[in-house]
Amino acid sequence: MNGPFYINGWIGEEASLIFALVIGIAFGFFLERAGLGSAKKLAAQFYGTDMTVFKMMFTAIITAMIGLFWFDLFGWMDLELVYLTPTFIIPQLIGGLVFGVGFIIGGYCPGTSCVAGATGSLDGWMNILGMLSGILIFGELYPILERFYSSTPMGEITLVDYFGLPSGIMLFILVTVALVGFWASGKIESKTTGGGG
Amino acid sequence: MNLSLNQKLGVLAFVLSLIAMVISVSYSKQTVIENEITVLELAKAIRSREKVLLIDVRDQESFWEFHIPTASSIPLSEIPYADLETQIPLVIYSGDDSLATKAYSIILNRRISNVALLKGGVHDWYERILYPKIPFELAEQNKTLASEIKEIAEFFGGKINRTEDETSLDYYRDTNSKRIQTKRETPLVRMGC
Repeated sequence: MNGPFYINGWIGEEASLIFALVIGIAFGFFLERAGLGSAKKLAAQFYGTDMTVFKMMFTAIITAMIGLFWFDLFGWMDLELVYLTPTFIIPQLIGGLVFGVGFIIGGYCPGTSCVAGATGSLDGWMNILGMLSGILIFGELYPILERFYSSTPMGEITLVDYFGLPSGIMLFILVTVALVGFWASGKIESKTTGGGG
Repeated sequence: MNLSLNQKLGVLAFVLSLIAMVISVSYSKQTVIENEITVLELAKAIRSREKVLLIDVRDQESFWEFHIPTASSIPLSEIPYADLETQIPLVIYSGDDSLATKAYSIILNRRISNVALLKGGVHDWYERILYPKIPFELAEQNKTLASEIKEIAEFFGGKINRTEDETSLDYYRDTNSKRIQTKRETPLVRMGC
């Protein structure tokens, strides 16, 4: 039995939704336990006083990367078959900027706003409301935006494809960058909080 | 030396990625497409009525918009369950090579070996078989190839276009995989008629 389970036909559509539900609940639970249901903690990332978001995101990325590399090597998971969101470089750059501005103003990203909402936080619910209205407005404007939305396509591309490097080297580079980042973020935190900044 | 749990996990991640790098450099694992067929080879096979089970793995909508003659539609999501146990050679294709490579990998995992991938997919078929570009000025060694391509295009109801580009026939000679991918933005629509 090897992954991806759905594409290889081990599970059907209903079972895949149950998997998604369980993973989603676990994701939300751990986000909350890591303290990311608090807008103060999330906003502190941008002021450099609390680097939890950075550390959490990068930990998730490198854990998944290492896991997938080894699973692929052992034949448990065929990475060729994993769906990748296609890259549209310019629209996604702009989208990232809009996302970042929304993040710092609202204090939440989409996932954490749901986590905050689930714990009864009113500002979490406001963010969810904003997110849903944004989706609605985007959907309505899509015919106008479509041209831009699908410009500069690069296909389903990964860093490994783009740089033409073996996946293990890319893995090593990113893990090293993450570890250096963790060390540096500790330094930044102690400077901004300890130094009275 | 006393390490915290976080530091121990960091060391573990570093070691695992270091070994990964060594393995990756010394042994590369990729889906190797051992069996490929070019659009020209496929066109000749269809024209001479060779037995080939041609499978289009794109979605139904794309299939009905345009497909290669004699092809059957089995979208990628159905490939894991589809009845493909046959003695007839299978040829799979998609828009370019991306979906078809995935399908190829799934079919090989199912221990079906008589499968080939159509290089360049339906886009190359459209650009190189149905509406090929032939140079105005033909070098002596290209004349036979050009007339063959013209015959094939007409056989499938297409037509040739003339071009200033004298290298346009190199595509049909270049059998190695390093080739320019056809990038299409306009839909595949039959011309003329």
